[in-house]
Amino acid sequence: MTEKINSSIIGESCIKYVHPCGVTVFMLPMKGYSTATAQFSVRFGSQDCRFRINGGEEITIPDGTAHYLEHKLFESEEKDAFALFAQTGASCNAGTSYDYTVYYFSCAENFAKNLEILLGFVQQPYFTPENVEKERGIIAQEITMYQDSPNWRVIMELLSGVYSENPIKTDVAGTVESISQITDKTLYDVYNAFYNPANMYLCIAGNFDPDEAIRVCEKCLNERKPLELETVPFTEPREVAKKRTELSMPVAKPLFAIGFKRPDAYGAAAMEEYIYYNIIFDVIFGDMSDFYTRMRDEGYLNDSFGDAVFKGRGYVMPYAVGESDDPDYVLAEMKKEIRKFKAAPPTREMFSRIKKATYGDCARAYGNVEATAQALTDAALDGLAPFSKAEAAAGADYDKMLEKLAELDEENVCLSVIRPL
Amino acid sequence: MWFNRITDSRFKINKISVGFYTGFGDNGGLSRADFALVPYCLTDCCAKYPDYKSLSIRFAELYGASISDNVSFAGNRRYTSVAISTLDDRYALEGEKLERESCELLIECILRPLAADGAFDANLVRLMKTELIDAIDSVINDKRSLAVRQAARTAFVGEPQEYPVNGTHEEAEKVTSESAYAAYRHMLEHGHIEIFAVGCSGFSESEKLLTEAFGSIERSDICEPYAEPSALKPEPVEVTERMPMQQAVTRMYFKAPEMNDRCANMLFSMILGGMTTSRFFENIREKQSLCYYCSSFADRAKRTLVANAGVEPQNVKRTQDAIMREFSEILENGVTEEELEQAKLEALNDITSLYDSVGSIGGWYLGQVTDGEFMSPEEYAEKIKAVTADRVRAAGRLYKLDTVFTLCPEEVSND
Repeated sequence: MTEKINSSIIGESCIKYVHPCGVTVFMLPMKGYSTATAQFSVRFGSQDCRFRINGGEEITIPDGTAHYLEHKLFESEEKDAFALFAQTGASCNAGTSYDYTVYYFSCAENFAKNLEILLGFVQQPYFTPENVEKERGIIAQEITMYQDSPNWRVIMELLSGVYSENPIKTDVAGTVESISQITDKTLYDVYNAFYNPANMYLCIAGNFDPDEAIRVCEKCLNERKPLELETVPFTEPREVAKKRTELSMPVAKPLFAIGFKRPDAYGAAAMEEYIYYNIIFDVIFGDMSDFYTRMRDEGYLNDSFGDAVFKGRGYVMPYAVGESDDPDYVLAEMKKEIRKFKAAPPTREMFSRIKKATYGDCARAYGNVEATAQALTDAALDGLAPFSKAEAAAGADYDKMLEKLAELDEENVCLSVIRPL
Repeated sequence: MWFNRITDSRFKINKISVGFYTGFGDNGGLSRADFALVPYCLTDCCAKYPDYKSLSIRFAELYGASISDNVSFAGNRRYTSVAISTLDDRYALEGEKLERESCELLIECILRPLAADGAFDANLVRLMKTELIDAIDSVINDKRSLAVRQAARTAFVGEPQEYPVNGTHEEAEKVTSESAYAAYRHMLEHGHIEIFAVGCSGFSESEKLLTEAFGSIERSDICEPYAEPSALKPEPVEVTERMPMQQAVTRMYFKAPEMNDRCANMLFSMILGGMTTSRFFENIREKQSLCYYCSSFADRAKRTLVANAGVEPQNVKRTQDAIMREFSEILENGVTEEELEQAKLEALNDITSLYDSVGSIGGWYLGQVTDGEFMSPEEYAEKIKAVTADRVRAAGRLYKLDTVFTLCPEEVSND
């Protein structure tokens, strides 16, 4: 059975199909486009490091296991996935984040064949002591590469400063030491627990035939015995773990990241936080703000400054990043500015202008095949309707924005700094 | 001035970019930093919107329209562009004419900057100089970019690419309101201008507006785009620089000044290190687990192929030897039909994908301006299909090692 989901606001419609095995499929054919992208995702990321299966014993896995598994899933007993895609000309890749893992391809031709390959390799793990060992050096080099990136480190340090218990305080790839504990058995155990059809989504966008996609799903998606999977919950304190973190690296000017801690949020509540804090931070600290104009004019900020909202399963963190000779002063001024706006809220006109720009950003994504597939995947993993982000932006309300502004605790914040050596 | 239009109803946005090609000669004593500062000044404000805040408000009113700038090498020329990207009129919630309004705003920014009496506004230049200097200095934050910059000093000695396109810290310190404005006028009066309008609109109104606006400028001694192959050194030069870091970055430059088989060259680079079934990926990464990335790409304008990898410092020499071995292997024994077929399929997939993004299809044609002739993606695809394994091997055989550059952690033996 298929269901059509429309968005009158952005003028798109999407087809939802649930395969009997439990995989939910979202499809958005894009007329006139040359390529198609399919993303096969699993709600399993680095934050899922403690879990129980069917109410059994708690299992703890080494940091970086989800990412290691992503690397190894491309391997097979015969031709690996890269070799199979090479025969069709498609480009393929994968990515692991804190809360999910996604495998994808992009192709101009042979869509059905490529979809078969994607569904095939993700459902057929092949781990041996030898091939798991072989990957260790490659992943260790990936970890080391990021260790040399101050732009990456400043965010990692920020997350470890904001969160005490949430596993997102640890890098997705783990450490060279933690990945040394991962074996073929670890990977099989984790695969069997999380790569369950009910925990997986297939999102397709671009130039393809939905009926053909369904036929491939019917042929290639496998039934698996359902299991009861529970990620062990943790209690994250309300307050940030640390007010400040500092490292020294070879950088030209101090880098900083400033994160404001918010309570845990899921699904629609998290999306609401995401939209409103994007708008609020753009109002207070964005290109149009007095804050940015003044701080840039006084030489405390340059055009590397930016604000965003970090969002995943269970967490939302409005944050800002940039370069400054005096990051502590930047933070003090940001706090002052938030207090100022709480006392004298932005005008409706200002809100409306930023809302329009936020909506424009969301709507533009549906003009790009990869971005459309990613928007579908994001919504599916959040348990939301396909166009919920653009619709939430278009429907943002001034009074609700004021509520969210009042809720923001400007003192519950962490400053992460990378200083020059 | 050339107005290039690519219209396709599949897009939801319209993007108009105005690009200027200028040379690296004397230019009346103007420095690279003088030219680099120009797009900073043009995208921060203009006479009508005299500060960044008021200009940003205007962008927000246009549904988050964005202005972007770029300064890069294009063959032997400097390419400076200012572009505006806007949601198409169809998606405006209140019926606004977004394409026309954004085109008018682009013209305001480029042709009516915040300037008077032969100089950009002094406060604007003060701010923009700081940003340019910060941008030049911050290359140290990204080790791969730093390696590219440092390696170029050896690989392209005596050529425009020897030094960064946006100049040095010292040059940027010396920029004045007058010198930046002189660079701006030089671009307008002597630069070769290419306008690319890409999106779902027909752009007839934008073309009229832009033609009228740029038509009123007195222009002479136009700097024509061109590209020259990089000269091959008599003997390869090896340079190692050290800094506090954990992973080494090594770059090997191979040059083939006589290369004229564009398609075979591209396929050679893909088979060597440009795809996930390449020799580098399979033999250096997957079999030897030496690195997370080891890849190659061919710079067609410079007739240069660059191999690069991030490796443990103690494995630098081993990785360089492995790269040379893969290179030699292809030159001696050629590529297999299967490899060639896979590279062609991936290339053809990439070519077809060009049409799905405003930036990609625009970039495709823009990238050919210095070639002196334009080829459509379809024409290029046909040429790719005709390449044989012998041609790939012959293209590879033209390359000679020119420069080996390594950015290495301090106090590590590289033996």
